[in-house]
Amino acid sequence: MKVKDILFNGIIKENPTFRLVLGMCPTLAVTTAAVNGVAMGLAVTFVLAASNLVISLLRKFIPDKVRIPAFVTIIAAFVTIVGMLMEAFVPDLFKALGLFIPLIVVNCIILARAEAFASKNSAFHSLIDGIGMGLGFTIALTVLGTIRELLGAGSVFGISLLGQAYEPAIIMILPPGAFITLGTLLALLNKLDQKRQQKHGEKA
Amino acid sequence: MEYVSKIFLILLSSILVNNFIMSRFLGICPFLGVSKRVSTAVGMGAAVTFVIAMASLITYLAHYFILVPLKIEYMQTLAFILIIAALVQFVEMVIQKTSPSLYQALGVYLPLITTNCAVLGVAILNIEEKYDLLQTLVNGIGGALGFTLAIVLFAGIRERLESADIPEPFKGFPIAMITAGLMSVAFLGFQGLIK
Amino acid sequence: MPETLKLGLKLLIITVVATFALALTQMVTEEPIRVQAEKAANEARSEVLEGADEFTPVDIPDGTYPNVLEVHKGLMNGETRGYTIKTSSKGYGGDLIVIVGIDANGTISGVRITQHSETPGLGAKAQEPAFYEQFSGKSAGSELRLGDAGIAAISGATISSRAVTAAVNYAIEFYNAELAAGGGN
Repeated sequence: MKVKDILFNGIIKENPTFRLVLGMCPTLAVTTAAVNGVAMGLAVTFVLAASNLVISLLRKFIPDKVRIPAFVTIIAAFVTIVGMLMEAFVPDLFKALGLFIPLIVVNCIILARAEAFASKNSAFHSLIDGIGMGLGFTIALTVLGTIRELLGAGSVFGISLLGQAYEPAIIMILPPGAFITLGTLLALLNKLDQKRQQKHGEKA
Repeated sequence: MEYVSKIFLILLSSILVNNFIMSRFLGICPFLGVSKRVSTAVGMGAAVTFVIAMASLITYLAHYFILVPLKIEYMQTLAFILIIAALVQFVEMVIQKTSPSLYQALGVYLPLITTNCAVLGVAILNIEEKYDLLQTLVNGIGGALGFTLAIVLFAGIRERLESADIPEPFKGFPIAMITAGLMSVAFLGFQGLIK
Repeated sequence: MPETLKLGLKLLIITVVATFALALTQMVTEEPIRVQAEKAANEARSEVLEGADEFTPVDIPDGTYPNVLEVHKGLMNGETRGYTIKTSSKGYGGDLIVIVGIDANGTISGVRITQHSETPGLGAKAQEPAFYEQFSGKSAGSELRLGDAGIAAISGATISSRAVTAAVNYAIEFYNAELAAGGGN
């Protein structure tokens, strides 16, 4: 297995948000602004990479029967560490993400990767997988956050882009905007996929 | 009297105003996953309600009688998730014994209640809001009823969607998301209900 | 039986190691978190009470002021510059927390919303200077009212505007009853 393939798999092929539709709660909740999306994505990336690494190192030590509680313990420890570090050094972001920091524990992506990848692969590959999946998640959250912030507040990363004349569509930064933006994006990706497959079919 | 009205407000707020799914984004996974049939949605709602009520109670006791006296509040996330995981295992065993048909219907989603962020979320919120024991229970059960309400309504809509003519790219998750978005618009109407 | 014991033991080891890692991080981050929280609190206070460089807490009589959360006396070069009063009121989306600065002359020196859950784009506009600057310079001698006293409500968010005004009035009430006569030492 090549490092590049594992990264590609996490970021594009099995993108946790757009392909696997996992970890929806933070995806929908924190993407009211692009910067929140980036912060949440990076926090998840750290936990994912660290827990993947440790779980892979311990995969012979952890008995199969109690693997889930063991995984959860390891993940929860890393999540708490990230939370404490964020509170100490980037308190504003910590406040913005709020409840969704401790809730990284129950982000299905992390447990899913522990179960599907880290418990079966070498430590190095697991680390790469964690980083790839984490980046895929970060990119997805940033895209969502950017679209919602642009339409809902007329700015991106806090920088006003659309000027005073644009009347922000507030609904985009309210809960309905989260569902509708993600739904539309997923449909768009499906459409692109279909087109690609059709082309493929014609050639064959 | 003031206390009673506060309890009532917490109940109303947790069911409608701050609905787990529609405004707090907690428990989206089962909301999308187990909402294809009204009957399974009702079962899932019942299981979640039971787990949340128990989890609220136990995590409350664990926080105030173990974590706080020992000054290890930073262990909160770890302790709570382990309590919830054990609890779900227990509920799974009970349902398997008492109602095999329900067990079959909920299938893989039952263990997934552990990773239902609504359960952990409400446990942490109870502590953050400094609720007492009764308020904790009311908030937990109210929130779970709100979850059930949303998921059952959503399942009802999805059953009808099946026979609708949906453009190909929107089939599956996209149309589910957009439907949820429209429902969430309706739930926005409850904001400002409590003054 | 030994099988179960072994499982339990291994889980225990993992939990103990995790606990140690957490305790360590807690020790390292405890001080920075405390410093950050204090810095943020002092920043908010000096924003509403310009010039003050030191803040000392003032006791709030038990039970009489349910909406008053925190009161601080602001000092400038050791002399009383005024007071900052943190109050809460019910907004449209939930509790709204406001910090009010009242200077030694009994004039409102600043108002900020520190925490809210108002609707983004509507009630949340209370956080913008265009709204909260309206309070600056008003006398704390009597209650303020939305509308006629020169405090214009945010269009489309009357409830939020009313909630902020109510929070400011709680501070005024506390100031007149407890602090104006030179109390609060």
